[in-house]
Amino acid sequence: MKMNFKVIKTAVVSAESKCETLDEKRIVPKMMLRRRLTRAARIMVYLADACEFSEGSVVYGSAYGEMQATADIVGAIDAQEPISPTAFQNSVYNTAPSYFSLLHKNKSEILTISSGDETSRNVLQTGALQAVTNNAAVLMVCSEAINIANIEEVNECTKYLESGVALTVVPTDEEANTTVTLQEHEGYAPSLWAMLDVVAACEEKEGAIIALQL
Amino acid sequence: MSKNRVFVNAYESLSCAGDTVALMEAIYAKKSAITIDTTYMQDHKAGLGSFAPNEFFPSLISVTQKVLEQSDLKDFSETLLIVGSSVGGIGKSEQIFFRDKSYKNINPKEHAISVISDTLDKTFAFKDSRSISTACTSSANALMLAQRLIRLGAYKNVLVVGADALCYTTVCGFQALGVLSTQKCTPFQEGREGMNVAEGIAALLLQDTQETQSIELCGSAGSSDAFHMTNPDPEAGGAIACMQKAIEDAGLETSQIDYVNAHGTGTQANDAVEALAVETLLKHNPPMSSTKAITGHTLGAAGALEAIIACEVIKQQRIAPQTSLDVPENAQVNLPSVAEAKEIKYVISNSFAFGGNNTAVVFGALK
Amino acid sequence: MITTEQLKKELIELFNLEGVSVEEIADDDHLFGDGLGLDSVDAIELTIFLDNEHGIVFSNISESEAVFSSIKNLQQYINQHEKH
Repeated sequence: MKMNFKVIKTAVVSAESKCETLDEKRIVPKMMLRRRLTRAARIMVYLADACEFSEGSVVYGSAYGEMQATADIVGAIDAQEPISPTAFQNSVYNTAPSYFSLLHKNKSEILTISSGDETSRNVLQTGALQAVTNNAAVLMVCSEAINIANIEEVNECTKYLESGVALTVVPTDEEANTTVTLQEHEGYAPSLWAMLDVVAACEEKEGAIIALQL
Repeated sequence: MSKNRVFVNAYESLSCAGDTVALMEAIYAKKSAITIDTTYMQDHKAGLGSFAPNEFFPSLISVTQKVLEQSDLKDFSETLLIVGSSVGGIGKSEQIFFRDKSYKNINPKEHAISVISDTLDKTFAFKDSRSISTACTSSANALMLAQRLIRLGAYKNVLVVGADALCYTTVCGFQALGVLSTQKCTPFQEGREGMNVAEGIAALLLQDTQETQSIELCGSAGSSDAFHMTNPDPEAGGAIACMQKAIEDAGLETSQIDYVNAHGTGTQANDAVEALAVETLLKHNPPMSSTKAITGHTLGAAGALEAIIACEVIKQQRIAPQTSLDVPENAQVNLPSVAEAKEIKYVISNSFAFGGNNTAVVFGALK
Repeated sequence: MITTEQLKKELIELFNLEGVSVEEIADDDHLFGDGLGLDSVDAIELTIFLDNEHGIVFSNISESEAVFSSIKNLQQYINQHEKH
């Protein structure tokens, strides 16, 4: 089932090693909250800020989630050292959007998708469903933050070890005026490609309207 | 736009209590299936819910196969799969890392949440699939999305699978947070010690067609506490909001809820807040119980497993009593000690997760 | 033996209190609530840290509550009970 959506804002960020311009001190002024944010959480709040979105329903996606926290926990278990409770609370796949929720006191439905390479495709589908259900704008964000020690043992093809893509959409009765084509986005984890396709079709285009599958 | 009704037409589960039939027998007999483990942590006992080792992935297939056989479908080619899982393949990654002290032999696709849907897709070839991972609300959110898709007419058949295996990360992680119990958990009990981590698999087929044995998925809703990453809002704002919205989504009044299947993990924080939420919102004081006293907390699978329990309670027209309760901390809520037979039309099932993520799902007997 | 200044440095590092200087933390600041503003998860991190770095283990929660009521109290407790 396809429906039409107006794309309001888009944003992309990436770095081969570490995103340096996430403007964290301005976006998260309270140090006691900022100190705990994971890399994925910092990317998420940066992208949400770029899309000027703080209230309303959110769909977040990540194929690999909080790798640093998971690596810390498993490493500690292996070394028979105590596990950091902060690492455990930061290890769930919905960590990044939860910090977004805390930052903006956002009490709406906040969902997290993790479907491997299909993650951002499924984020688009779920975001579309949520937008139609609430008849309101939805923020969709997909990110990967895999810059952890020894990641090269398993990573062969992703150049941007930190990356994220976001867009906000609202349902519309108007006809679609923009076609989204499938592309390969070299250097980006495939889990982001479907949303990068939408951004490529819509960025710098005022009033872009696309059809999204539910 | 369509507004189809949504029916639960087939389901099966596997928990430490066995399959669905064995699980319901244990619930009504008040017989916890939790065992006390000493292998995950040196010098620490933990109450855990487990199947036999290495059974998790084969059981994903067998549980799903049973649902297919119960259903009116010949295959899942016209069915969307929605998985809810918190752990995915972390267990296997742990074993490889403990053995090799490196990540080299870890297959990222077998580490990720998507390993569950990939495993199922190899055997069953679904029309499409997607996976939700919101910690302990994962499969409750999967049910919520399934309901919305069917209601809109986007899909006629959706299989929701909640699945989480035991692993060192979650057992040791909850211990690090100081919320793991060394014994069988005692939800809502005064002075309770904490939760039991458990593994579980639960699959439910949701369809837009009504059958004689259908249970209706009447309503659902989510909310966020926006309070703390792991502690729930002590004023229960988020829990009350999602229960209220789910009941409204079902087109019901709060007074029509006949039984509450609680999230009820057995932790100090959750049970106090949940009891307050139910006391505040459901003023007619319906019976409430947490079946995690039998199964433990199956994390991402809990929403789906407890949805099956809710459906069974309606089919059997018997309230699930509260196992392992001696003295309730909150004397205002109704925690039955007996498996009372009574008319049960509507049940609400709660799930609350890290990040203050809350989801409630309402089930109803056919009208 | 540890000074309050050294303890404050340790806490700033442990809790990743970026941009907070030693001078900004008063000796009578409560560690939780209105003082330093640490929460229940930080409390667990702190007990792990005190055990690992200073060999200190509390026998019960009320003992730790009194010790955490100020930076000065914690410093004095460490100096009295430290084991290596």
